[in-house]
Amino acid sequence: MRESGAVASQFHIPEAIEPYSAELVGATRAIVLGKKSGIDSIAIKSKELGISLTTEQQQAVLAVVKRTGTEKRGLVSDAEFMDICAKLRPPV
Amino acid sequence: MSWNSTAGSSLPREGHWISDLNHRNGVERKFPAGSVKFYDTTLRDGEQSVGVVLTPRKKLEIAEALDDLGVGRIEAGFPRVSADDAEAFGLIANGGLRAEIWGFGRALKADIDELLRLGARATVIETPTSAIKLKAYGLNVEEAKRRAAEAIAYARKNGVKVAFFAVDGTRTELEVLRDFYKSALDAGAEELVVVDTIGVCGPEAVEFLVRQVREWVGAPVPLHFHGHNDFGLATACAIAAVRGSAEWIQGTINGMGERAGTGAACGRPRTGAMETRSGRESVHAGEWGGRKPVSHP
Repeated sequence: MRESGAVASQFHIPEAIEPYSAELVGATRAIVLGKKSGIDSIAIKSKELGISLTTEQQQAVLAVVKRTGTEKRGLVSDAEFMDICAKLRPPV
Repeated sequence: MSWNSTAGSSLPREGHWISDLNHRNGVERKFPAGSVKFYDTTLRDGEQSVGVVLTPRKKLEIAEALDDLGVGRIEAGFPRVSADDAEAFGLIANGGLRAEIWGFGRALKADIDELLRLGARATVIETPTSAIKLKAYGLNVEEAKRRAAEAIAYARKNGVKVAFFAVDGTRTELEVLRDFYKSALDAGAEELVVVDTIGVCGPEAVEFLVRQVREWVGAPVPLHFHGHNDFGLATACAIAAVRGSAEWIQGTINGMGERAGTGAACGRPRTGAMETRSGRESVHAGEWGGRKPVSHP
């Protein structure tokens, strides 16, 4: 589970950010959201949950995710993330 | 066998029941003369632990507790990350602490400008140096060296002391790493950090690398070691780094930090291990009593 935005930017190259492959130990790689997330964290999470966001929408969502994580002093759940996206994204 | 042997150590006489085997001929390894000091990065690397959020006020409280412990340097944060991180840095830098307050930034003018705005007098400047990290960031060696040199020179020009931090240094080709360090020193860095970003070195390899860097740069340059605990070896690697001549060990309270964390800077087992193995004074005996309250805020 990785929260940092800088790590999310390298998430597509596992050997750049991890000492061994997750498959070796049966672990799952995942991005989690919170105060330390970056724009790439939002891109990865929204793709994972099948939510399409423009770059502008990603920036807006990121600001709310960081604020939420700071205020609750913890991680932002997938449900909370979807709620944030729903409020910031016009209905299709 | 004596259980209370503290020969050659600055440990208090009472309350240590370590094994004499540590000091046995053929077992005990020599350490360079001199003191070892802690550089605490709880408020920066420590906060990178998943789900951890430290408010500016909480960071100041922790910094004050670290200061009471006698920690030599406190890395008060990476201010460019967020307004909260910047606020915390400012509070701590102006907090009247005895510890030297350090910042953290990338090799980017904007990061250095933010540190300058907040009154930083010393900072780590980081840049990736390994092939895989450079690829991930879309940089080549020359561009990364150039950025690092520019940022270091800019910080120096503005009166800020710099320690150059080679991200993923332990997976960097030795010749490339040597060039990064030499370029950083030429640009004005005064100290260097040997970094096991991904926690992939064993203690023997860390001792080798620190010794190697020492050979490249000579005696007067202070060397730090910053490791991670992915294989449970961060503390052992820190001790090995001291054997290799590192003067500063970077770590965090309770070993918190990115992924499996770092070595514990102030947890009892680590300083106990350092003093036991090396006989060198890392924190003076009067400060042992303060550790539990800091570790359990």
